[in-house]
Amino acid sequence: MSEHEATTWPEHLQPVADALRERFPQLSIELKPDNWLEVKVDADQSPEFFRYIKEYPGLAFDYLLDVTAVDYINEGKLQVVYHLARLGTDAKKRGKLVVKIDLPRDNPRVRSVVDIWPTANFHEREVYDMFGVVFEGHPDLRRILMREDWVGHPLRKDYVDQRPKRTRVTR
Amino acid sequence: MGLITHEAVPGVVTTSLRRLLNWSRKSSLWYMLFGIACCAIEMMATGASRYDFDRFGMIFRASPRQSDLMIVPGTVNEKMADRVKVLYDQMAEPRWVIAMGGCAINGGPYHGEYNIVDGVDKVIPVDVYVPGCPPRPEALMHGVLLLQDKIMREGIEIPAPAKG
Repeated sequence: MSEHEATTWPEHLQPVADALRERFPQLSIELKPDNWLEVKVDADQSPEFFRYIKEYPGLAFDYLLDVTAVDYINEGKLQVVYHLARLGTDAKKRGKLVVKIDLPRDNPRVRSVVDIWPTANFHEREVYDMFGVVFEGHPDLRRILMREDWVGHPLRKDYVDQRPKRTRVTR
Repeated sequence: MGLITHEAVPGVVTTSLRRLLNWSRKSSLWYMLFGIACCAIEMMATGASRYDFDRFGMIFRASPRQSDLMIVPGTVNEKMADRVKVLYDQMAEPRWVIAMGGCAINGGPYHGEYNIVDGVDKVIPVDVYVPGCPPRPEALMHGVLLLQDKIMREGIEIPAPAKG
């Protein structure tokens, strides 16, 4: 990221980017439309990263909006996406942050963030249910929407419906 | 009620027991307080004062044990299908089922999707299908009237009403 680009950022996002770079110099930070900051993090780096953005006073992202995933089947990867915001500051200065973690499609494992944001509990269960991402350290990683005996993860692009055919019931 | 032979005696009608039973059953179709999707809103509207199910002797019961009629108003997904079956099994016979709306008939807009049961008739037997997305209260009431017709014919040979 060049100096020129950095100076065009909204004022309230500059300290966020600075604080992130201070601890993680290699991090790629992009400014997206509507003033979202987007960050790509490695899976093994993620526990340290999330702990930092929650607890470092200059960042304090205390609100986890959403955890979801995208199946990039052609690239062989599953991308877990975290949307974060902070509520503690003035409404105009609230930073919004998107964190993306690429995982291998054949064995997607990432550290759970339930111990940092408890709201992630159901979100991660849903991502596990729909995409098969395993969140290590999750207190209760079960299917949340589909039946417990469901086969496969339906939002994967190569999902094949394996249900036995049902026939019409008559009296 | 058929008045068969002799001079009319005030307050007396002759009929068969079967017809009497059918008449009493069709006139007190207590339906189960059960809604699984947006069609339930229309079902509630039908039960409320503007359309007024009560005039057919229909009141909702919050227990399947006291219900005669199960209106299935909405999408039946795989997880709900088991519950629908359990509720149906808990109802005492005689019991009837109305599939209300496209989803309950064959999956409707979700036909063929994962997790969707393509029609509640894959789980329990259905007597009357009411199409619509959602059906208006008039449509549901028409379905109920058809069901009443059907109940009146149970166990008796009555020619079907003429078409047209």
